[in-house]
Amino acid sequence: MVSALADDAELADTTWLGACEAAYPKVYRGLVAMGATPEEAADALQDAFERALSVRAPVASPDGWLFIVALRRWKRARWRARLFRPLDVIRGQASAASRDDRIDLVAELGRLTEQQRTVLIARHALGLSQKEIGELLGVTPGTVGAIAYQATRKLRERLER
Amino acid sequence: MNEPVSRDLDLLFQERLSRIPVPPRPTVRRRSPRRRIAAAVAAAALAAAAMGTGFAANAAAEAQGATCADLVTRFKLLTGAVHVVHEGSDATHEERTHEAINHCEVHGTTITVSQR
Repeated sequence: MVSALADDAELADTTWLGACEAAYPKVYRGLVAMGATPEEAADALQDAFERALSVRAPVASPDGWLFIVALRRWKRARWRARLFRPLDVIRGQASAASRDDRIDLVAELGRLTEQQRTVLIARHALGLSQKEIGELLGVTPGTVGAIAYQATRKLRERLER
Repeated sequence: MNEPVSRDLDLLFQERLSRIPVPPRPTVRRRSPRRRIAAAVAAAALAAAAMGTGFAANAAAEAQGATCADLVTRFKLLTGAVHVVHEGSDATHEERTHEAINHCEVHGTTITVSQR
C-alpha cells in the first residue's frame, strides 16, 4: 500500500517534470517575446525549474505555471540588474543591445503594456484559455478577455499598417 | 464562456516565435559574478560593523570600570540603557578603570560595581 502510494507520487513527479521539460521551448520563446534576452530567459527558466522540483502538488497547466514563475523570476532579476546598470554602461554592455529586434512581432509586442503582452503570449504562444490565464494572473476570465481584446486590436492595427 | 478564436494570431505567433532558437536547457544555473561580488561586499560590511560594535561595547564598559559586565550588559552600557554605580570604593576613576577584579550586579537599569 505504502509502496503503491510512493510509486504514484514518483509517477506524478516524473509526469510533472516531464511536462515542464516539454514546455521549455514554448516558455523560452514566450520569455524572449516578452523582452528578455536569451541569457535572461535561460536563467529565469532555470530558476523556474528549480522551483518546479520543490512543487509537490502539480498544477493543471504546467506550461502556464512555468511561464508565470519564469516571468516573475525574470522581472525580479531585471529589477536587480538595474542596480548594476551603471556598471554595464561603463563596460559598454547594455543588455538591450543583444535583444532580437529583427522579429517584427516581438518588436510590436514590446510596444504593448506588460500585462497585455503576458496575456497575448499566454494565449497565442502557450495556448492557454482565458480561465487558465485568469487563474495564473489572479484576475477574472472576463478581465483577461478585455485585456486580450484591447491588446489584439492594437497589435492588429500595427501589424496591418 | 465563449472565447474569441484568433487562429490567424495563433499561426502568426507560432510562425514568428519558432524563429527564435532555443538553446538546450542548462543543467547548472549560470550565476552572475556580480551577485557573488555584491554578496561578498555585503558580508564583509556586516562583519566589519559587527566587529566595530563589539569593540565599541568593550570600550564603553572599560571606560566606565565595568569590565566584569557580560556581553549583553556591555551592549546595554553602549546604548545607554543602563548606567554604572560604583560601590564600596573611594578609588579614582582611573583606578576603577584599571581594576581587574571587580564584581558586577545588574539591578534594572543600574549596574553596581563593587571592588573585591
